[in-house]
Amino acid sequence: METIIKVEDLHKRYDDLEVLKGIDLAIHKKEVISLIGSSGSGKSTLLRSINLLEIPDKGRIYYHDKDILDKSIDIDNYRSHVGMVFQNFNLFNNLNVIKNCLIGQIKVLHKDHKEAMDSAVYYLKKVGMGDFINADVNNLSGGQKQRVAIARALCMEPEVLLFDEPTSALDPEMVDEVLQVIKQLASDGLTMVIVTHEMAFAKDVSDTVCFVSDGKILEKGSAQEFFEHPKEERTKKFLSRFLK
Amino acid sequence: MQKTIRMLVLVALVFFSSLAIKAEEDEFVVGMECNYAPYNWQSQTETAYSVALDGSGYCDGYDVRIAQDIADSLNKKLVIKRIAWDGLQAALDSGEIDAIIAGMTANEDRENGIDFTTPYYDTDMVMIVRKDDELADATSINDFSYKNVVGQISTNYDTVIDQIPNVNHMTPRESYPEMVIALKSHEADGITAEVPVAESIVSANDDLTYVTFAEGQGFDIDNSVSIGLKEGSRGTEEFIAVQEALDNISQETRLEYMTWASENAPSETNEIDGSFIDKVITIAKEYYPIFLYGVYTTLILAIVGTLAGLLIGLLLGTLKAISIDPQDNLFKRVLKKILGLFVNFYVWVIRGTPMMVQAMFVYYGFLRPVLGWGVMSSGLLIISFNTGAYMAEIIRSGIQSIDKGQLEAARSLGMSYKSAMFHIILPQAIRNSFPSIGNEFIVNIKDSSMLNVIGVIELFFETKSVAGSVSLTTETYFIAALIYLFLTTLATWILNYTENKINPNNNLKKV
Repeated sequence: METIIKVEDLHKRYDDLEVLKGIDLAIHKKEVISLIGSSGSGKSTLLRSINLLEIPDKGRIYYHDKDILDKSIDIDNYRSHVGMVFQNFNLFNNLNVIKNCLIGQIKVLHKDHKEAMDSAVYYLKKVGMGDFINADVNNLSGGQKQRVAIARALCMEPEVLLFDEPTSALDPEMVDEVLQVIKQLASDGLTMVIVTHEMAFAKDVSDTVCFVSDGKILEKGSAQEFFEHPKEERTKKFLSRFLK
Repeated sequence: MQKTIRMLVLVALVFFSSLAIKAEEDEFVVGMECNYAPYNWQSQTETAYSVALDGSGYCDGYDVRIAQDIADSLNKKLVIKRIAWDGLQAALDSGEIDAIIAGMTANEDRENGIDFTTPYYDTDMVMIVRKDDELADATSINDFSYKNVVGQISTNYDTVIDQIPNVNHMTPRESYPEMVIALKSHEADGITAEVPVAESIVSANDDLTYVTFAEGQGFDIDNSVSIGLKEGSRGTEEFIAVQEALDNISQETRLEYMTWASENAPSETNEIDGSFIDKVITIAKEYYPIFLYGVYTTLILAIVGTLAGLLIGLLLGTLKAISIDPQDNLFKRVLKKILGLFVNFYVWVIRGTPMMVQAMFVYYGFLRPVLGWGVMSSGLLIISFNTGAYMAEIIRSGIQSIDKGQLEAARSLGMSYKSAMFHIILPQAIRNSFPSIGNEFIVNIKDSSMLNVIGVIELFFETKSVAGSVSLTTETYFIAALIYLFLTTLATWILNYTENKINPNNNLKKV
């Protein structure tokens, strides 16, 4: 299987707090990886490091064999291939739904308006937001906002899409609509890395599950193997809290 | 966003370029106060000798007649510019005017910056007093010992007061009408003046008279008034032409002109009567073109100052909000640090000093002597850069109030920092700061009045000159207060309306 991104021995510290203590991870084409673990374990920092929203102190991140931490790499170009969906949606408040989906295509990919429009409408329909094209983003519900945010990321046609706790800020009744969209993307064969606390969803959607604990990947395995036969004590303890 | 900025730049450029001042070849441009009867005064009625002023009424008087004769000899068209006394030399230096004919006496100080012709009027220095005062019988300046004597600011009339032994030398005033009020209210006991000025004041005020001093008992002073030409022009064709034209005006003609001027000088002091409201209405009716011109200038200052200030603020505020990125190389880090320090310094200085002080310092220290700028373009520049410092703080806090997720989301799409700033962050920062930006406009409507110190003829300056002409301070400033209140109220309405248009979701009305 072709490797898109490879993380080697990644370290990150904030002042006295060492958040990542040597992470190794490979993201293969069409693979869906879930990162699970308790709060503060470093899983979000790992995800944000992959998109360089955090700059690691040590280690390597390879994108198709190129080290993106090298100064000569055009980070903006790299980021345009690696999409990100945030916990708090981060829709552009000054733009309406369709413009949120257009701006990256026009300003970064330099598509013409017509082409960008077609693709924006296509992805908005895909996430079930086709009726809200001209809506003000401030008038949407949390679930609707997150679906627009996913469409915005998809418009860039990324090779990998990173999800940073995409349902954590949602009211419980809206979680499902977002998870359904992500499941659909998984079955379409999109490569994804998802930080989540939704265990049933992770089990259902993932090819690989990583348990992040104390800045390291403590255990890693296929979804079935991981959830049904965890090896490490800490993994068992963590899972027992969710699966009771 | 791009459109808005492009429009802002365009508006600012058009306004600044329209202010380029240059005296035209076939015009003889003369500067005077138009508030110093009988030499020069401003009125709303045209006479056979008056010259129309740009925007507000006519200028008339002895100086105007002399200027007209000289312009005729030079075969040029006479143009009169109304300029504050303190701004006359500046205007001459910058080429805004060709000559000062403003009842100005050549003295040693002024000779340093102005080349004077021979005198075009010569007169004695006298003292204006109350008719019923014992000083009406004074014959020597010594009679004014221990008395309160006042003179006009920045003139000989003020400095000569010290020749009186043990005199109580009062703080000089801006204009004669102000001093007349002081004299009538017994605040002052005497006003120093030249004969023609004294004649004109006494003829307009029945309760006043003036005393002349016996030979050797008066002030030791040269009281002649001369025409001021640009320093270094002595000996040039222009200087000689003006001097010759002046020589051709005979002594008889000069006397005739002065008699005419003294008789025709405005004497509104006695004309406005009735209740407070009656006086206000009379002044408003009589002088509305002057007020209107002031409003026009004030609005230009406020609008251009706010827009240009916003542009400066956008630039500086963004620079101030930029944080050093760990990915930056050494050069970028140093550059960001230096720019940041520069912006902090700029904001620190501008916000920490009064605009009045900035105006004097920048205008007299740099804009006038080095660039030769006129008062209006200088005023616009000063108010713009002053506003810019406040705007920088507004924009900076606007940028910092935007959730950092907005920038992260933009960067995660692959947008550069600049592009994210321009398309995502700044539009939101401006929208959120709109109330504060609008507030700067309202502040500018009022604070532009400070620019009167460098002689910008805005609403406050006009009010001061009307108040001087009619000797009714309270009534005139009441009109000014009403006008300012009207302008700021109107501006508030427009801003609120716009705010509701661009920020429909951003108010608490729904709660």
